[in-house]
Amino acid sequence: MPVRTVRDVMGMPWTVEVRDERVPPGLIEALYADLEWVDRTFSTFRADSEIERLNRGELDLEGASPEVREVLELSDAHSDMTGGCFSARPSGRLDPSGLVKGWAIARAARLLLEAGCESYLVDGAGDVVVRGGRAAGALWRIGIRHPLERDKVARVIEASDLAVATSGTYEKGPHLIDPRSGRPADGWLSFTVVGPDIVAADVFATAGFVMGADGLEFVASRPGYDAYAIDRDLVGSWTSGFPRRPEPAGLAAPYFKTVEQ
Amino acid sequence: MKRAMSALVATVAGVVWVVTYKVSPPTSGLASVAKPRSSPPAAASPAPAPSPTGKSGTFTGQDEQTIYGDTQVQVVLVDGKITSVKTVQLPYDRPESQYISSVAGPQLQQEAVQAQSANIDVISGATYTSEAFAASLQDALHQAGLD
Repeated sequence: MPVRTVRDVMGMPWTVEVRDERVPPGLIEALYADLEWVDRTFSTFRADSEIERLNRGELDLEGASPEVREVLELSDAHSDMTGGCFSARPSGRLDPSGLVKGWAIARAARLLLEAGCESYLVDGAGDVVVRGGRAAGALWRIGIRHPLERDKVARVIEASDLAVATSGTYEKGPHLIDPRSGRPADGWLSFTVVGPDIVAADVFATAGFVMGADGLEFVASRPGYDAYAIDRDLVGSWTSGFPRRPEPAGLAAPYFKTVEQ
Repeated sequence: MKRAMSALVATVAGVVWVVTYKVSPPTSGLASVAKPRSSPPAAASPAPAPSPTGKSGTFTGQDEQTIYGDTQVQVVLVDGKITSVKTVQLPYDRPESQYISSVAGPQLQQEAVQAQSANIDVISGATYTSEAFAASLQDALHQAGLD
């Protein structure tokens, strides 16, 4: 039987949906248990997490979990890749939260893949990995949220194997800091990146957001990744490879036309 | 690094293009957080043997609406301490009609047509379902007199 679950982990909602007819017993529980472990290990809100123990000098990298070292190495690599627009030390303290969520989503998706699942969706608070489809012959349909109106979507993507990540300040107010200037980034309302890897998509969405006008070109320069961004005037812009949807019957108009206001 | 990146961008500029269009403007500014339903809050069902030292029982929070569906949280108290919090009503029950009416604006008509024939499985964006979760939880705690 297909399953769809929603749970609160790391203070955010996670959705896991598997459309396969057979889902191995205990798989979904194991997946959430792993997410809880990630939270206990990486949370900056838990004094006993490895990250906080590293911050207090009670733990050194050699003594940390291999997964912690992996995340910090990934963070450094992505920091270099984004010209410092993504950082695991945004305020001087070690805080790889910006990468951990994507990394945890990738872990969850890998768990499903390795268990033999063929059609699934993992959504970690709005960052999404899909594989297979919602039904035989039907792709997953992913909406990109309208930045100001929570009951609207600005764009729909149909995809089979794709990672989608969105950065925005509309939910928590300005919380993304441009590490280059130390000031809040204010160029975009939301910035969505699609591509093969959710860790990279997530980091590029954060980086593209804080880069402002340079963000789209930056993502376009990353092979396999594309972006869709909405600015403060509610103007949407996207890179040339951003997924086109199959045209519904009876509609001949192009999807990506420019509309004068 | 910035310079290196700019150089990289310049090398691909010839093959990249960017499209711009206007997203439908908001009709009412920033939307509010999950709106409470008009239905009355669920009643508490007290435990059979309430402890004298603190409140015990199961308390169900108000049903909070999100675009994914409804979220409702239940807390179990023993001696005034929360022993479990669970979601009794999960969102994501595919409210198809909501999506059809929610995609608005002349620029998004084509999306609306598509939404009619097949609804949306998931939404990418900054999260807010946790807010509904928190609101319902707070309501459950209010019923228990703990907030």
